[in-house]
Amino acid sequence: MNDSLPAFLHTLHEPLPDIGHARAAPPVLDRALERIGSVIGTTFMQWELASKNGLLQTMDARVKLVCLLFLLVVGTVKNAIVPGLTLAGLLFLLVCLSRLNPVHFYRRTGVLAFLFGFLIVLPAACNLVTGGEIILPLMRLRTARTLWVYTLPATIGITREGLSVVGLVTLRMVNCLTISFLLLCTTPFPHIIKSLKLFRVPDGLLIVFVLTYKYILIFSEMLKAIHLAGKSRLSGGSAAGGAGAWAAGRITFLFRKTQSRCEEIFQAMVSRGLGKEIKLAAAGKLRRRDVAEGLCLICCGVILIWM
Amino acid sequence: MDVKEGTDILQVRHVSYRYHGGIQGLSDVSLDIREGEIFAVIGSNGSGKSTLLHVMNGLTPPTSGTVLFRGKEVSESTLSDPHFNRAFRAGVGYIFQDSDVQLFCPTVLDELMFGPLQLGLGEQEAQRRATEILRMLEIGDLATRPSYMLSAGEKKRAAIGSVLTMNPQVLLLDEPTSGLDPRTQVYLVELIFALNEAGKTIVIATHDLSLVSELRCRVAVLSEEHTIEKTGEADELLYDEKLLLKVNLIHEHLHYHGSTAHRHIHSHYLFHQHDRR
Repeated sequence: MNDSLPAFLHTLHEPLPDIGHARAAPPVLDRALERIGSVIGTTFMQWELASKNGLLQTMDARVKLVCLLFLLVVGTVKNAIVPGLTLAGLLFLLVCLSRLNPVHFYRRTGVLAFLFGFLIVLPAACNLVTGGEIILPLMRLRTARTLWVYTLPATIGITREGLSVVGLVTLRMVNCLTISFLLLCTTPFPHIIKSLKLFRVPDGLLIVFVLTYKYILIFSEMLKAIHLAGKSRLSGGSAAGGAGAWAAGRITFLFRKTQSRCEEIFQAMVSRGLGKEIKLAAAGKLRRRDVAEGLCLICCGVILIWM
Repeated sequence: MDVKEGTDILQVRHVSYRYHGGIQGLSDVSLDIREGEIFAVIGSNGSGKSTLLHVMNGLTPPTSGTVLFRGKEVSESTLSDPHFNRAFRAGVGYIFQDSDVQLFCPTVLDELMFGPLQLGLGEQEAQRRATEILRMLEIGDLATRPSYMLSAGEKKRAAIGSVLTMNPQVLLLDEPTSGLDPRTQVYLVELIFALNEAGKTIVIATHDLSLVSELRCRVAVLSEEHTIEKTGEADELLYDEKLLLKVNLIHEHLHYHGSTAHRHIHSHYLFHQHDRR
């Protein structure tokens, strides 16, 4: 075997050719791939490992799902700031009792609420959308103008009623996101899926959810492995269209791998007796403690409705 | 060939790593790999062998601790220096356990030429290297074939070839024999010996004790607590039953010969010592 080694492999410290000031790696692609893989992996692992010994973690997933959904409905239908703030306070208490780090938790919900709650609704603070008493004039026109069915008032500004609308919608968004994240951070994914049986979600659909979830995990791991394999061989700026070849090759590989993985999973399901009807094991019996805790949360929701 | 026997080419100093910020992957691991040696990291599944190789290849930054290549620290900051990055990537080649993730070019020939082209070698030189490696690995007839049309053994050869064309000084091999037929395994062992004789430093992560026994190399044993349990020569460590039992590389096994029950340590290759009960 030693005789068949090419001569260049016997050279140990060969000088590398000068290729000028090549960049170490394409930073944007590099960082984006790394971040995507890490975020998906960490988030999903966090959900998978929702096993702290807190209030919501120990509660039965079905009771938790029903109670949190009830609070979600209450938060959505109540059209006043005070019940919204009270619900936010209750949710904060639940976050603390579930031993979740409030700073990390609210940082995540806060960003989403700011983007999809506050920023999107912000124009509603203006009297162009919500009429009312102007508390901060932004622009003055000589006269009011009418454009088709729209009327531009002489003074355009932020109204008290508009601010109230923005505040209410943002608060609702914060509460909805808090409830969703509370459920996800305190319940392992398989338990959420099983609890959906309570709402008569067909087992076939639940299997699709489970497979999708597992696929995302496998996909993120694969993406990370591919990224590392590329990184280990990219020694500088990609020469000779290397980055293009790499990206194209990876897309083809992922497509083929996905296709073959789908076929393998289906074959595995068939070999284990998959028929026309899919049946999943039901969840166990409820404990008294779960019922008591559930009733407490429902009572809180009823009080909020009366407020 | 100018191998300085005994010089440390790769050093791992008190490296720890946690997955997703929580799960322990490595715990205070320290190793010195000498230039020109064959070194094996053995351990059961999940002990952190692959993670250790990732850290040694600068692919995964450790949570704490350092890795040194020829005395220079390998970190995110040093790898952002284009000169060091190129020297390091040219010097340390990594062959992944899953060959699929490593093969991404349209054909096997493109795959083998990819590395040299990244190093800045000319098209002709890259082609010459690729052809020689294809011939050496006996996969010349696969040159124009896409990687998804190869068998597991062929993929492994193509993956090895794709790294060898870069002529690295150190080769990191993650579970090189897993999923390969016996003939390809024997071929791989011969190749490892040949590369080592050519002066390459070889680091292997495996739980295949027969491979380690064949290579007769220096070995580090990773425990299930993700720390180095012991480092020593293969001849010494592979016969340390207590150690191998502790790190779950061999197990006690109860079976019957007629009506007599036997319990013995079982490793599928080294131990089969009956202890009548």
